[in-house]
Amino acid sequence: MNKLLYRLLLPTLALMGTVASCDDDNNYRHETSEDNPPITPSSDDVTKPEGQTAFVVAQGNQGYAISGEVDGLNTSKHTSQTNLFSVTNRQGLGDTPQAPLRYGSRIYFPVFGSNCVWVCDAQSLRAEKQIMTAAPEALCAADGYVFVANNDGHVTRIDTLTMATTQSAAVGPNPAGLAAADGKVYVSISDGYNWQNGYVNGKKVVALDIRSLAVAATYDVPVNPGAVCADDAGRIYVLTRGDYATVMPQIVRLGHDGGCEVVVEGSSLLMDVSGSTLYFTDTVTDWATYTSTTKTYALDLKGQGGPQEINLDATADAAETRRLPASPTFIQVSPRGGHLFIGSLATGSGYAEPGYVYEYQADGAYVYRYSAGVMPFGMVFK
Amino acid sequence: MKALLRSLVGIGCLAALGPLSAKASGHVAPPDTLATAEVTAPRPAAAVRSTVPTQQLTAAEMALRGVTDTGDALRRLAGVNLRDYGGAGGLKTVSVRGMGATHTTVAVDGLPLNEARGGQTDMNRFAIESVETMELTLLDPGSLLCPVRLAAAAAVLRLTTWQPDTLSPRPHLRASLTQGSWQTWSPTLFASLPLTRRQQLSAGAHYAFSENDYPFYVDNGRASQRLHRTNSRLQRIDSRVGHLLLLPHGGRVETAVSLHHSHQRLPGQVTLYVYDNDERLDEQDVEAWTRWSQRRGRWQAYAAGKFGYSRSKYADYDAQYPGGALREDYRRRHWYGSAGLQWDVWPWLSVATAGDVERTTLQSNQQTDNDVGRTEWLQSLSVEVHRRRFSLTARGLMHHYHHTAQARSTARGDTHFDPTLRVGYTLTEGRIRLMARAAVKRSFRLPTFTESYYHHSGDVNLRPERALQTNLGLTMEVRRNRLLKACTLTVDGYINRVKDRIQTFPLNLYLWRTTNLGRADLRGLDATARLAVSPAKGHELALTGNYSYLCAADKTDPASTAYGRQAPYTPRHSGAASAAWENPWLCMALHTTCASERWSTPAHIATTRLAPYTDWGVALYRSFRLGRWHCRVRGDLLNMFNHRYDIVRNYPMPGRSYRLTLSASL
Repeated sequence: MNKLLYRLLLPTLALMGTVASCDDDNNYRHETSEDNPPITPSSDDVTKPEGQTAFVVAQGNQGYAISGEVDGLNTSKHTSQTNLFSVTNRQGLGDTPQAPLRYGSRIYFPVFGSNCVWVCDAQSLRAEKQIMTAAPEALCAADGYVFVANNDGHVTRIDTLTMATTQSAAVGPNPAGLAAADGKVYVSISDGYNWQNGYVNGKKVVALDIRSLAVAATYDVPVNPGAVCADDAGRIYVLTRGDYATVMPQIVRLGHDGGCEVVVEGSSLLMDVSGSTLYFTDTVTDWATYTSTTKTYALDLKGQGGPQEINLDATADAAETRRLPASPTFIQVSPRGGHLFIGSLATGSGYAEPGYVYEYQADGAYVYRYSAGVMPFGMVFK
Repeated sequence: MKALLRSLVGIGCLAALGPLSAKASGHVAPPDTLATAEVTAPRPAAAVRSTVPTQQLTAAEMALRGVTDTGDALRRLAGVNLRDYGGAGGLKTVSVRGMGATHTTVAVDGLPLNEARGGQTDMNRFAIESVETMELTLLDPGSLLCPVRLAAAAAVLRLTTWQPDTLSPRPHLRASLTQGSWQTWSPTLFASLPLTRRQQLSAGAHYAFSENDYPFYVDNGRASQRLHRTNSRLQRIDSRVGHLLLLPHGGRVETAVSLHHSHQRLPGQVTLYVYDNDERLDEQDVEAWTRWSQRRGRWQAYAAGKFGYSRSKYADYDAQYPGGALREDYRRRHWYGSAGLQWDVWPWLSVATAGDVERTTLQSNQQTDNDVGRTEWLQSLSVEVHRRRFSLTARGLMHHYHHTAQARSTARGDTHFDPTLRVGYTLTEGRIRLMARAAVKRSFRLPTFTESYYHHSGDVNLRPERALQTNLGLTMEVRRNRLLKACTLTVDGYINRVKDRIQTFPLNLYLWRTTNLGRADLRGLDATARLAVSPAKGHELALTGNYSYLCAADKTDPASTAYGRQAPYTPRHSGAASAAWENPWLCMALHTTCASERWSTPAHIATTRLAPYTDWGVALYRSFRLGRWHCRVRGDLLNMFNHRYDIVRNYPMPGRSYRLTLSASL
């Protein structure tokens, strides 16, 4: 009976939301705040999943035979705990997991190398289901569904009630990023394995109708698009990674004409959008000395001004290098509190060593450095 | 004394030229063959008389020690760290004294292989059935006169294959059939035919087929399961046709054409929850070479030329890739020429010079490492002094190289000069012969084409990776008698340093780059021992063992957690031992190899620890005559205690298995 209710009610509510958002883009509400209410840790034991306030995916390193893992952070007590997934579930997460997604009371972990998506309880991290799907690269959620960007050229839809895949649509080679907004799922098509031919079949973002997974629109973007984010107005931002040679990375905003406008240019970019602010890091490498310098910026997406650098040195003794990320791997903003979390390798060449997650206040003031697994790649908050 | 010195020089020279000299004695040889007549006898002592660490395995010794494949043979050599990806088709590469596989040069029948693309040789391509001898020399080849390429390498692994039987005037035929676990079949046929009194024609062929779908265990907590390797079929054929012309005064001209073809399905890394793999690898190698050597009075000379063509076609079928497959198709051509001259000025002084020229080109279906080439000139000048118990060899080596590349930046060229010095002093002679030896060598290895040009990560500005090796050792040999057939012991300590290491690391999340970064300090000790006794006629007991201690510390970045830790996949302790009893009824060999714990990561992350392993095996065999045929039946039980272990993490080694071999020779 409950299932029946959910099946009938949720689509109806979702449809209402879609219609409402069509009326006025500004009324779009970011899925995070509505679908992911805060979950208070149910335990004081910070060694258990129930005692954490956030989970970090450590991607590991397949070349060095390091499997992926899930670490826990307690951002109130400033503690971290490794290997929570394998300890809790008594089996491994798999190889090369990607950025996780929290949707409702569950966390979804896409595991690229192991061809699966784990569905776990957000409080206890207990695995509820392992959904097999080819090379999951990215996730997003809306209207009771979780969408998976499969690197084999598909987007797969998972029904969060039945925890089963319900539909799949071919979208183009090597989809790399996903975001849901305004009744659509936006998927970036990178054609990343076709670099020899200039990523010729990529360079676009496809918008799929959430209900039918039919292509609703196609947007031309610069070469090698990756992460996709939506702001609170439902506008879509895409990080394009360039060709690693002559075309530099950019962050672009999709337009209404099937094109896009450049918002940010950089050397090596990571981004996250929170509300109406775009946060990004830019890493510049000096090729003469092989040293990299990272700067962090915030861009008010409603205003007309340019990016403002967030000075991560803005503490009394922040010159200590241990308070700065050596080689960032992700940037994420906590939905509550607006703190910046930056994942990083321990050193510039620490790709097979445990890394860190750095926490800063919104103004860049250093808060804490958490230990994490190898190659921290993304995080979710309870 | 003079005769002895001459013999030693002769042995050195002939050993350098490898198969050139092997078995070249007796019946069809011309009268002036005093030096070559000594080759077969002193081989067991080469390890203890050389001033550099030398280890040798002959086909007979391999049989006696229960060796079943090339990888197994390499694990019986001290100082060798074998990376074995498991099973009959698994990649097997050799790293000596922790310096990395790219510092080891593999020579087949006396001439070096070229691995300019990836830098390391897959030892799996050499079927043990075709290998007559395997010899590992460190720091410097044991002989004064040799191809400069071999003198330039930090370590040389020499394989001698398919040698004609020059002792017999009649045609010689050798055939064997091996059947083993997991549908393994491998027939081998070799024949040599004397054309004239001075000419031999030989031909050999080896075919191997294996499903190779051995069981393994996935340790994954409550989801642990027993699976079989999939997509692991191996098919391989090796063939060789050779011609040997014996010249007057001990000269010889040897010519051969060899073909290697393999078609493999690759099972890949064991990945949790993934049960299939669809990678393929096809490889073809064709090589044609000829070599002349001559000794006349105080002069020795050789000249050799070689052409090789290799093709490697790799495919990974997956919908992720454009066109449904990732395809990498490489075609490599290799021209090599070498010539040298040695003059024995006095019985106690010899000088030699040699020169190599080498050209390698690579074409591929890739955008970057395509249409690239490298030309190298190598020149060496060597001096050897033998005075009573003292021996000194000094060698200077000049190496010039430059690169060519179509439509892109070329890798940098340069000229280097590297010296080698080795000395030996016989402490005692008589019943027990003790010798002290020391050597120091500076060497380098060039960046591979992949490291220089591969998309994104390649860097044309790479410098060579440099190595400094020092060795100090002691050898002991007990004179043979009626009971004691062999008793040798070698102990060598060493300190090596590798700097400007060529490593690939990420500059940021998406961009990896290869660069010269870091240093490794390597300290260790290698020991070998051999004891053979004959308590009664027809009975021989042989005990052999080797032990290696290696401390391979990364000294790159003090801020890194990897700093000072043991290098990945490098055991601190490793060794092998065998005990064999040869008798008229049923011969037996019991053998083991072992290694201490290792890590797959530089930082020694706890979950990447590889437990110590000990792999035991036993072989039973019997030889008998069947008419004119000399036959042997042999059974091998491998990994007899079914120990589960990985040498390379997530590439499980096979469990208990068997091999049955029937061989016959005429």
